[in-house]
Amino acid sequence: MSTLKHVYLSNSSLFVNNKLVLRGENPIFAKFLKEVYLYNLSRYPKFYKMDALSKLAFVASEVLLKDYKHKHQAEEVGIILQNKSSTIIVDKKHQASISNREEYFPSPANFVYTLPNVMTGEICIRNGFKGENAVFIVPGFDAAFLMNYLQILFDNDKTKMMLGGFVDAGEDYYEAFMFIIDEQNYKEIQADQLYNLYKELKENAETS
Amino acid sequence: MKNTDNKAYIISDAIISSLDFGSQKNMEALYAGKSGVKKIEDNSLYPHAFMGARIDDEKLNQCFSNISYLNQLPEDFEFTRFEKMAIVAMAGSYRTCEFPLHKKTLFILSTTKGNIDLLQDENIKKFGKERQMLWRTADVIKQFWGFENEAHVLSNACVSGVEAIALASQFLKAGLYDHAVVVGADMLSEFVVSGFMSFQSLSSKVCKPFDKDRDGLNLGEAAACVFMSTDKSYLDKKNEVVVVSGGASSNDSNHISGPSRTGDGQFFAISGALKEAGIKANEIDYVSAHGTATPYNDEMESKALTLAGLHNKPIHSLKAYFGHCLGAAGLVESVVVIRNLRDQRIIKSLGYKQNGLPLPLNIIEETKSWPLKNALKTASGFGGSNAAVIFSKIRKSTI
Repeated sequence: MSTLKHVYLSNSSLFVNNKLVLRGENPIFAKFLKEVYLYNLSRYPKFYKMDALSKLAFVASEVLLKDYKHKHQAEEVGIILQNKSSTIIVDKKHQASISNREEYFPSPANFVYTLPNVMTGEICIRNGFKGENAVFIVPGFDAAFLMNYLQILFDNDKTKMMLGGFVDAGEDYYEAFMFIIDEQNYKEIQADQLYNLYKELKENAETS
Repeated sequence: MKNTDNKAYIISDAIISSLDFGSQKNMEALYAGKSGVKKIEDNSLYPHAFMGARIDDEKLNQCFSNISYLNQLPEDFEFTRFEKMAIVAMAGSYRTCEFPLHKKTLFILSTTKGNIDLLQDENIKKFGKERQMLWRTADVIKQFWGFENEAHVLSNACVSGVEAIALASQFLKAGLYDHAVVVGADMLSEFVVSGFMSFQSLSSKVCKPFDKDRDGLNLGEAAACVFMSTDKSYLDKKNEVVVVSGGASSNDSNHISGPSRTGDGQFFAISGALKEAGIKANEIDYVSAHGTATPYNDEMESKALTLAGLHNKPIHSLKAYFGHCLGAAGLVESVVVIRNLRDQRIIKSLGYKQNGLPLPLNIIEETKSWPLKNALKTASGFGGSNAAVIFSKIRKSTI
């Protein structure tokens, strides 16, 4: 697992490869997201247009990909993420905009974010990735299914590098676990080890 | 987990749509050129009339009560409309051939918004908050049938259905499962109708994919199921067998709500599917495109299909028949492709009269018999996602 670059973000804490690199001063999700965005110091105005889930996935991917060099073609790099709550925060916003006929103002800027795969789309746009893409909705991080699918993609030459992980956000919780896996290291990574790593990070974030 | 010699055979399928219930009846309606897109005046969906394709509620409830004997949950368990749609489609497939429910069966639900109507106050009271979660509704469907494995939900916008079939076939070919049941469902809801209205992407008429006067899409609702297996003993006595021979997904990496300007994203998905199938573009006999009838989507597809060298192949969109059924669209349209391969027929692209694309495509203008061996189904969606899957007809004597 030592070859797997990963980030974990939850409870106002940001871990890179198991190391706590940022402890947010503000417990509020939106403010912490901005802290991570500023910590990473990459200006990207589109960030401010994103919904909370895309922002979360985006900052995780920015930290993960910082200083990460690769020579793969656009179509050889993809993303597969899992998520539990789909786009519940922005879903509720859209629902609120249509629940009253006297104040009926559905917004396209909101509506477009009511799809969980928009977060992978944002990361692809930022980095020029054009490879395999998927979002699975799961009751909790399912390392076994994710690793099975990633291995199928690598074994059958469908990709050379992938971002994988679990990114989830609700009104009072958020969590992002994201890693880079490639044709060199994918065989070394076992699903149970990956799951244990995730559990360990989750516990560390809760006690940090 | 390199692909083994396993083949992902299509064993049975079902569609429930605005046209009819059952694959056969849907095919009859398509061959007769009928459209399920009608004027809908329903204040619970939208304050004004709009064009859409809706499933008949009475029929849905009737069908659901007819299959209640299959339900493994308590008799008084209350199912949502979305869950009924998915379950009825699955039952259609199950009646043709009973799929196994044990550990070797993968179960996938493809949807964008599932039980999204449960965000409304009165529904939260009735069903609780958790039921709105896609993993939870998938679990309810799983429990109805009594699958031993957990359900997996794929939610990748409008490409979900095509991608779900491709993904399931990968797991089968890799030997991780012997069987896969893939169901796709999405319904018309105030949530989705108001959202597309705010985008101003809905047409006020029956949509016209690839036509020069196309001016937007029609929303639809449907559910469809495909049961696949690597086990030859499930094949019926017919000599022709349809398999999933390749599939891939990709991203445009361009814009979250606008299609690629070059079509290269969709092209990469098509190339990936061709590579897995081990065939060249000239071996594709027809293409069932996404064809939403929005100006930009259809333009992008004309570029992607031209890049792939498929522009002279017979091409259609089925959106003027079913409307755009979002997470179910790829499943419904794939079932039509599978049936077309069996029937050796291609269906006219309803709503098309005159070329309206910068790079002209060979749009099917007449439903007719046509020799088919390999057929390509494509999809594109919000978030820049694309997917492609290839179905092939093979002779049973060769397997």
